[in-house]
Amino acid sequence: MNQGSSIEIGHLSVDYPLPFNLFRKKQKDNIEQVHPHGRYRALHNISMRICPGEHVGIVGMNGAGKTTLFRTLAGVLNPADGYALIDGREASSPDRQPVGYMAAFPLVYRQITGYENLRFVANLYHVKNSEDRIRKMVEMVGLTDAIDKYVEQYSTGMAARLDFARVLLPDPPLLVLDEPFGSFDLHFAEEAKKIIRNTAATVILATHNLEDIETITERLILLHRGELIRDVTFTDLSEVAPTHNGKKTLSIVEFVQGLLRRAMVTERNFCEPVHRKHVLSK
Amino acid sequence: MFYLNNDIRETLAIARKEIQIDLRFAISYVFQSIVSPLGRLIPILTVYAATVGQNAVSPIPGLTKETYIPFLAIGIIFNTAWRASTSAFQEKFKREKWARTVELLFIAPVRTTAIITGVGISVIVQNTPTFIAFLIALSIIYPTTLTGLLLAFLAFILMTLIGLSVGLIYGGASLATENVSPFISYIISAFTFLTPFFYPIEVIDKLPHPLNVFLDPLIRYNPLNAALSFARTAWLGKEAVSPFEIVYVFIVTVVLMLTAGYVFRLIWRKFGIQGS
Repeated sequence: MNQGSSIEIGHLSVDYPLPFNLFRKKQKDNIEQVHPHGRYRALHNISMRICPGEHVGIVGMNGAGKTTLFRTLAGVLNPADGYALIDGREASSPDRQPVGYMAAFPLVYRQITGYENLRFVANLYHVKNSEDRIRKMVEMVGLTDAIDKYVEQYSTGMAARLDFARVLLPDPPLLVLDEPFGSFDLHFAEEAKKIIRNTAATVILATHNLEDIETITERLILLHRGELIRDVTFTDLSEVAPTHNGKKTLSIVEFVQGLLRRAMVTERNFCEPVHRKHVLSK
Repeated sequence: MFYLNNDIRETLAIARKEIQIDLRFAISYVFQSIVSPLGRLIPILTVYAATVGQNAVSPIPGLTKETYIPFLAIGIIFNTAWRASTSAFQEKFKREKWARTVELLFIAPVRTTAIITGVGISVIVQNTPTFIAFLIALSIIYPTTLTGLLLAFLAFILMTLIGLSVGLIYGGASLATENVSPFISYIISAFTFLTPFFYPIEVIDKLPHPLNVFLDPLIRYNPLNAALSFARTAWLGKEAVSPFEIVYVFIVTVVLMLTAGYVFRLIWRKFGIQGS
């Protein structure tokens, strides 16, 4: 098993272009106020250091910048400012250590078989004893009977399992996992969590499940609107859990909002959750 | 040596994956690669057969009753290679971008050269059925010497590499922003028109003034014309081949390959992927 990678992120900002719109002349001023660079800034001035083998959970509401951070670490996006280094090398450099990036959707080719997908990844990452390793991964994810089928014939869960095998195949020292357990059945989700929990690799996990944070990670980072708001190390999640009406909260929404309040966000520009009763059944 | 071995392994892995994806519907793939060029060739062949083929003195300068078929056969082979190589990266990158698998390539610690060469090899393999089919037909109709065959093949490879270089910039642009792609496709279309795949260069003199004066240097100094002319001369064996033409094509190929690699990396670094 590989020793984990170290990560150093300094003053990292990542931009996306604004949608092209011929008819937005009237709105232009407003848009430029929100996006002073003429682009949408998805991550703003993020700095953090993650030690080898550390397991870190990233939480935040939708649009907080978790996926953008992950895609930058995976080398898919380039920083607009600052840097993201993996073991001292730029995340986008082909000379850096391999990154096991599991996106929120399976990164597998649907037109070829599951085996051909894994064979391709094994060759790209120069996996030693690749046939044995592929067989081991296939058995681990329970796809032995389906590995010679086209991926287009897989169910969503099977494609996600193949993706999980694809991520672990090169035994990467860094796992960047963007909400990875959503498509797994309960049994395999538990298996996958056990594997992630016990890996010596550095793990960065985005999730909306507090239990996953508690069981897999020992450090929690909160992103909000592209900024790093909280960065806490814990042994028991309840130590850092905010109180709500005098009780420790276990709801991820209240948890995140509680952390945001404790971080003394001066401008509370988000909505409180709306409690609806039986709306769907009416 | 270690890096070279890894680069070769990555290149072959990418080429193999591209071919596997292309062969998902294998019969369609092979038929398309032969039928589509035939569809472009037959109308022109019909016109030439009815004009050049029926007259002892050809009404089209630069073509004779004996040479018009090999002339067109070489033209269609090169035209197919040019079309496939210029559009290969754009088609493959776009397909992967919208299927969101392009990230798989860019998260792997793979050099850009391995991606480019891997896709390039898959394009050459894709064109092989066309090349072999037309080559067999051509060898039956108008046999050539081994030297003629090898020189024509050299020119074919150089044209494919020029096409891939132009195609890489086209592909890079379609990864970064598809709004720029149409402009590049128009430039490629202009180059296709300025290359005498299906007409002899001598017909330019017959065009009305000043169109002929304007077009003549553009066609004459077009490196694609030099490659095509070299292949035709080598195959027909009626005149000595000009080493100047092949040296010119070779230099242009090397310069274009280096430029395309640089421009692609520049586009990638500056704009990344938009649409995935």
